[in-house]
Amino acid sequence: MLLLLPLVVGLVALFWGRKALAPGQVWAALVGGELADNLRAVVLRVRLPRVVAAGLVGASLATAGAIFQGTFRNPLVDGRILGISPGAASGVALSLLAGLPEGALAGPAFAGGLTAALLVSLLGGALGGGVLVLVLSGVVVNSFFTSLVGITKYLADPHEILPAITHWLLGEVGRVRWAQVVPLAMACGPALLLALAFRWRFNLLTLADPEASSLGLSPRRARFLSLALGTWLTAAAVSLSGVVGWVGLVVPHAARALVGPDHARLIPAALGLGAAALILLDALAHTLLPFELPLGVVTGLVGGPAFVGLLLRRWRREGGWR
Amino acid sequence: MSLAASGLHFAYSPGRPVLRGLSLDLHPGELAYLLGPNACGKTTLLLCLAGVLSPGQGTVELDGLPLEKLAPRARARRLAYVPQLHEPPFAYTAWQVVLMGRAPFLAGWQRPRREDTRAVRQALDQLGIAGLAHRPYTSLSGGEQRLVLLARALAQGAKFLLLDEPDAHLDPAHQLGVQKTLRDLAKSGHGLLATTHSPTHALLYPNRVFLMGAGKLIAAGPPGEVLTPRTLEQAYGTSFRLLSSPDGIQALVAVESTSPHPRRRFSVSES
Repeated sequence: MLLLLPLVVGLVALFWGRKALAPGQVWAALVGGELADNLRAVVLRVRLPRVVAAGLVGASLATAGAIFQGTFRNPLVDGRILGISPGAASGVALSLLAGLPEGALAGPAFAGGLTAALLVSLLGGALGGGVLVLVLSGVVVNSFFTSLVGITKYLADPHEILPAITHWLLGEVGRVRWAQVVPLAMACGPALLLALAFRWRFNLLTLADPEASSLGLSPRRARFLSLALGTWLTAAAVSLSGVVGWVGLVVPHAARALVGPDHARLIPAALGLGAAALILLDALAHTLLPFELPLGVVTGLVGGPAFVGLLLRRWRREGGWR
Repeated sequence: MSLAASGLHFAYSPGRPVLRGLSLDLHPGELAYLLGPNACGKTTLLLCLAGVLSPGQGTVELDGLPLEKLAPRARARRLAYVPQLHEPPFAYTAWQVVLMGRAPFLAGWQRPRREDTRAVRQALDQLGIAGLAHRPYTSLSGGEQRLVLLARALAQGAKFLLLDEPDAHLDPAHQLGVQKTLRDLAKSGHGLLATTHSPTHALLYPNRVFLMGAGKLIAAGPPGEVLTPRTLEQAYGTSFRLLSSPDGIQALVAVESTSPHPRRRFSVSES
């Protein structure tokens, strides 16, 4: 059910924009009916890729968040806390500092995210590969890459490079065209399908290692594979949209509140909810005020209070977190 | 058919052996208890027998086949480990916890099928806890949680169950209930090995007792022969009295040491 939600929200978001369009006009653009060329371009070349990108980024970040929270048996982690988003961000910041054009940032972002995850794995693995040391390694790696981004901002030319870095760090999908959406879909699609296919299995990763192992799983290997999958999704999303925070943390909680903790239902719910939420927030980001707000700012503004709401709800129902 | 360990050596870190040449065997239809002081290696032994840890030296054989020759999932269909504490980070229902016992029957991409739900229902029915199925595990009482973990081991289809202190943290009535359940499972053909800290329980319920001290077996055999004040003092370093009630029930209780040089053992953790 929740997997269909982004389709509905996405359709609504196509009408939603600075230029008001009638439902008939949007429909005509989608199915190739009678319509002025400039209106058709607005729908097909501006709004549609934007909606698809927001949906893919939201789905990827939320699915990755659900995977990370299960794998690390910790409801407070996401791709940002584990250092993967900051890794991707420093890849981009360094590239901009080195003078790379803004169109060529997906590669460095992806490489930065993977480097961060690799460092987390190596560091955590060297300390025994347990859950807690992996989270702590993530915190260390996060701090390192955040500082790296800070240095590049400090060194960057304040008139040209710095605004570009800042802009990218705040996250947005507004200027996305099909040329960027297609590679994103090719990167996220298979990873999302893998996450859906293996979704029940993530339950076993929430068990203590000896238990998981007595059920025939090799916990360390499974944990690294699942870390790899979450990293792939996060890095792919961040490479297109910049750093969009909170989605990976809050959406899995909201999904858990709706369908319960069983990953067989949680993963699809997080995927659908994440996509729908980001399409909606992106629509708000470019229509709420006379100028366009960065998407990462909107998710922060909405995500924080939403998280508090979820915690309060849990507090009332179950007496809070253990 | 049997689960047999011979000459097990194990160390978590070099130079600090936990198991030092330990041998024992377990047969279907038998309930065996394993006793020993804190940190003597009981849990480590269970994990070696379950194939979760690989011994540094020695072998564990299931029906004459070394455990490492078995694929992990094939091993998990025959041997189940029931932990003392299971603390899920999320509030899974009892049903979902038991369903995880079906993992050894499912390939990575598979989700539980109809036969898996049937096995879960059967396991819950066998232990009489079908009514708990949809309650969150985290909201259950200690005794109920213990039964849910037992049900998971049954859903695993395992012939041999290795249980870490199934009677810990339970009130006397629930302790009795769990022991009775273990005995019933032995009667139905399972082989069970359970650790305990209660010499009295070990005297009353099992067919066989293993008494352990510092990585080795001190004694093994029928409870009445193994559990004497003398062997217990040797294991725990404190004196014991054997008490009998007129109707023949016996109990073993620790008393303040009467020997001139009591051997004291203090340890804070058991790994």
